[in-house]
Amino acid sequence: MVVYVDDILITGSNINDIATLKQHLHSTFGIKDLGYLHYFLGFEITHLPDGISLSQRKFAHDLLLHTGFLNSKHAATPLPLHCKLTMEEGDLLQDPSYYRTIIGKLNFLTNTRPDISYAVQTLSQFMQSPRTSHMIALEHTLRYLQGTAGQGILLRADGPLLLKAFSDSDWASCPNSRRSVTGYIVLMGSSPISWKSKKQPTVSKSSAEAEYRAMSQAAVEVTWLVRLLSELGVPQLQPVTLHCDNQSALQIAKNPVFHERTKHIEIDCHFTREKGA
Amino acid sequence: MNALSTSRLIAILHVKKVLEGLLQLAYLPTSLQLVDILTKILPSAQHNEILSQLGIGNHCNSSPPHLEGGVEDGHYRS
Repeated sequence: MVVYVDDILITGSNINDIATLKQHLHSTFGIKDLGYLHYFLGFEITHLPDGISLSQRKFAHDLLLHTGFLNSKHAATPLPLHCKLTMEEGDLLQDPSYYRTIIGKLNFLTNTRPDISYAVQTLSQFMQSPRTSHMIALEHTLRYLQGTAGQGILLRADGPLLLKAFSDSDWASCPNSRRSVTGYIVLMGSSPISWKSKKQPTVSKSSAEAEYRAMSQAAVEVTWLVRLLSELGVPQLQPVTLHCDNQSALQIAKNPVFHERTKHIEIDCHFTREKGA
Repeated sequence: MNALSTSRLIAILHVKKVLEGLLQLAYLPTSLQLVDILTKILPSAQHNEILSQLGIGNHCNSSPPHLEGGVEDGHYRS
């Protein structure tokens, strides 16, 4: 059961128990039963034959309306291809709070939109002192949104209850700090349930190191998800396969020998090795 | 070592004991990396291919988005 102020969600595997609980709540507080869940905290939930879809169409629509991008020409990608934003390019915006407000809203949209996570992460780097070049890039993201406002994820009903994780990094991609970007996504069956795009907190000296850090972040997330899911009664989730496209990082993770060249990788990164087989 | 990293270390050691054998590592050729979508901007064809593999799209047909008038990759403004 989830309670948010005066909205309550109830779920369970036994329909009779749910009915009893609802009756009990009604007799105590007087509740209104709205039936199957279809709208909660800005999330639209649709029951489809092949699963449940989650989207934030209304939220995206309102954002576009508020910013005047509802009828703009739509962009095919979340940011322009090969777009490299720097701290200094362009003039400072007169009203930085406008930029920050939109980023805040876009950030909320990433709850159902892995496709804009990277763009929002990139644009968030300039919250401190946004400039015109950043605003132009932000407008591109809004125009991408304009064409994809109803887009959401589908939690498939037929998939196996198995977790799969994928991690990747883009080494030294930030032109301002040369820090790398971590990306990971966790699938349950074939449906995405958790994802993240985040600039790494430290500079990596090799792509393998950046990749290794991304793996470690994915490992932390998987640890948490396995624990949460087993609490919810999903058995036999381990071992979760973590896919990575960097052989060196895999070797570092698998090989217990302490490499001279990887000495500087901090202890928290060795997390992956402790978990990995 | 500051307080944060100490607590992190304790957490790691604890989790290590509880969850050994949690992960199985596997190599995946770069061309198949779904997670590219979270680390870079891809050309739209590749972007959309990954989205369809992840089952991300318009699942409700009630009010389809406006798809007419696309913009070429790489242009800020039309």
